[in-house]
Amino acid sequence: MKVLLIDDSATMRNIQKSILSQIGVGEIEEACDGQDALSKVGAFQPDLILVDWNMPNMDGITFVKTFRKADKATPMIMVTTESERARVVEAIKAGVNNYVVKPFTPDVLSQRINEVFAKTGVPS
Amino acid sequence: MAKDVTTGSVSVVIASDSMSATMRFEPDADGAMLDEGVCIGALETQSIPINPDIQRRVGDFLAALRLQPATSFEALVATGSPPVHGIDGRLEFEPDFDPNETEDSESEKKPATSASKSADASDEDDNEVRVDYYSRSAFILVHDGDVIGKLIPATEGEPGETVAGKAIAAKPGKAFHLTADESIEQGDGGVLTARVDGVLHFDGKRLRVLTELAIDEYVDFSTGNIEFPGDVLVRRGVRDRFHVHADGDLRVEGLVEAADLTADHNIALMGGMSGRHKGVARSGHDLSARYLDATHVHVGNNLCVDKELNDCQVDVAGAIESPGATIVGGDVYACRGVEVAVVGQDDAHTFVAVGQSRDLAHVLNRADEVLAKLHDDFAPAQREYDMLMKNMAKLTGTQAERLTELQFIISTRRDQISHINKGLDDLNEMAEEYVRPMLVAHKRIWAGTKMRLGRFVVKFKTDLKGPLRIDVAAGRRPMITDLTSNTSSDLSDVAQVWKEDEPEEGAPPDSAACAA
Repeated sequence: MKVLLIDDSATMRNIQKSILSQIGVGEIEEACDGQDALSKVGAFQPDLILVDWNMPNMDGITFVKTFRKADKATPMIMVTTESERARVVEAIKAGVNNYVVKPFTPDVLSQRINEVFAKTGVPS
Repeated sequence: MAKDVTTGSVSVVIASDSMSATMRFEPDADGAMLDEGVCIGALETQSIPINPDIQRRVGDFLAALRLQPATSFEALVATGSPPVHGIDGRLEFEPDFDPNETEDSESEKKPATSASKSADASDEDDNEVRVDYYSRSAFILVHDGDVIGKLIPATEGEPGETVAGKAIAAKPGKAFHLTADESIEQGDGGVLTARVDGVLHFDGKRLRVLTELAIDEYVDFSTGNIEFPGDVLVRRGVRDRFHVHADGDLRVEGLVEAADLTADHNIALMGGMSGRHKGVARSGHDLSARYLDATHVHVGNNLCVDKELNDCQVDVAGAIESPGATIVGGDVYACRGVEVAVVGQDDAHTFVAVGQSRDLAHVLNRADEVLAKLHDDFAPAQREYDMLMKNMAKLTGTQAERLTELQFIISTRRDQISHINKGLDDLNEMAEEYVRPMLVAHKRIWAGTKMRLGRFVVKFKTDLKGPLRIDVAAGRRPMITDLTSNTSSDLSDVAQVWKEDEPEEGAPPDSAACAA
């Protein structure tokens, strides 16, 4: 399984990478903002995208909207500190499949990933 | 004797070995009548075949002659070619395995310093090369697959010919007959490869790899340190500060001084060892010795001593099975029991711990230290986490990310601690099943001897006569059994007994007794 991590914090990316490794994810690509992610997503062809909201250059919501224009299928989970209901709704309308609010535990992230795969039918 | 023929005004003299011909001009001849034809004719009458080189030389002779026509003159005009005899076959060793090479296996150079005369006097010997004579090895060790050398075949040689063109036969080289056993493989092109690990042995004709190293004299400066991938036998002894390591068994028939002995399997010291508190004997399996004196001993299985274990630091993973021996002085640990004749002596501090391994205790202590460090490491993270959690509802974005990071750190640390604790529990469980806290003394236990028996510390105030057995069952008090009458009683009836975490009667616990 291939996962694209989009977060401007290297620490956050490392934490998510460790969690993904523990659940058996083999290939992980990283991007530091939405722009960087757009340049990589075509070649990498991920099975899942984890995306932060607040990032420089291109934030997570803009990335989601842009990406969804070309790809409606790849599951995306927003991993962010934005916890207000309005924000969650905005993200889902933009095209994310699930939402994780920081701080999160490894179990919570694993659970959200499994939920997404269960719904989308992509093998985990 | 030279052959001398005169034809007209020149003569040809052939050397006694028939390998050269000299043309000589006679001073009373009519030099002006000489020409090349006459000279060539003189050579042909000697059956010397004429070739361009000879013609050139004749021309040179005549030219030289015309410069000095009135004096006798001679010049070399023809030569034979000597035969090139064949080269004998031989064995050429690779440099690392050449038994004829003498080189230091380790050397140490002092660093170069300034050449100034104003430098310290101690810098005068800057260019000195230090050699570690302990590490010089007299043995050539090889490993399976090492290319040792090559067999070079003999050559036929090339024939020569006399000045008259007669062939001279060349002597062919002698073949080299090498005997090698299955420890050496002879491959294509004469390449010789070792097929086992061991020491290379070559006596001029026979090449082999010995898998047992036998040293007929001492391990000393004549042999250097020994590191051998097999069994080692030393027929005499081992001198101070030398190191012997055998991947297999090690047997020393003479005295071992303050040396360092290691064997992955068994060690047998037929002449005993006097370590002077510096010597070390370390066996992966059993160790047997006539006696051990002031030596550090680590035994992977059982220890058997004939006479005495005197003032040694001993750690035995198995049992000490020495029914005729005395333990005097030192600290002796044995996991699976001790059987000796006598323990202790007047005025000698003797400590024996049965059902204990100091090496294992060291591992457990180290694990405890690592656990303590892990706890210390994440205590600040835990405090910060607790503080942030209290303000969960008011966290900024940065604080929320920090909280995630802290959760991850704490979770990872807890997993590590849990993993280590599980390993320690398993180790302790194995140790509990493995150990036998038991001591048998066939003759006597002297007053003043201190013992550790499982979790109990024992001090003998009076001499006890054997044969007796001291042991402790799980959850019970230590017992002493008279092996003659087979009657048992509480050990505290005849000795001071206390638990490791209790103070000795009227005194603080002994530090050695409370170790691990």
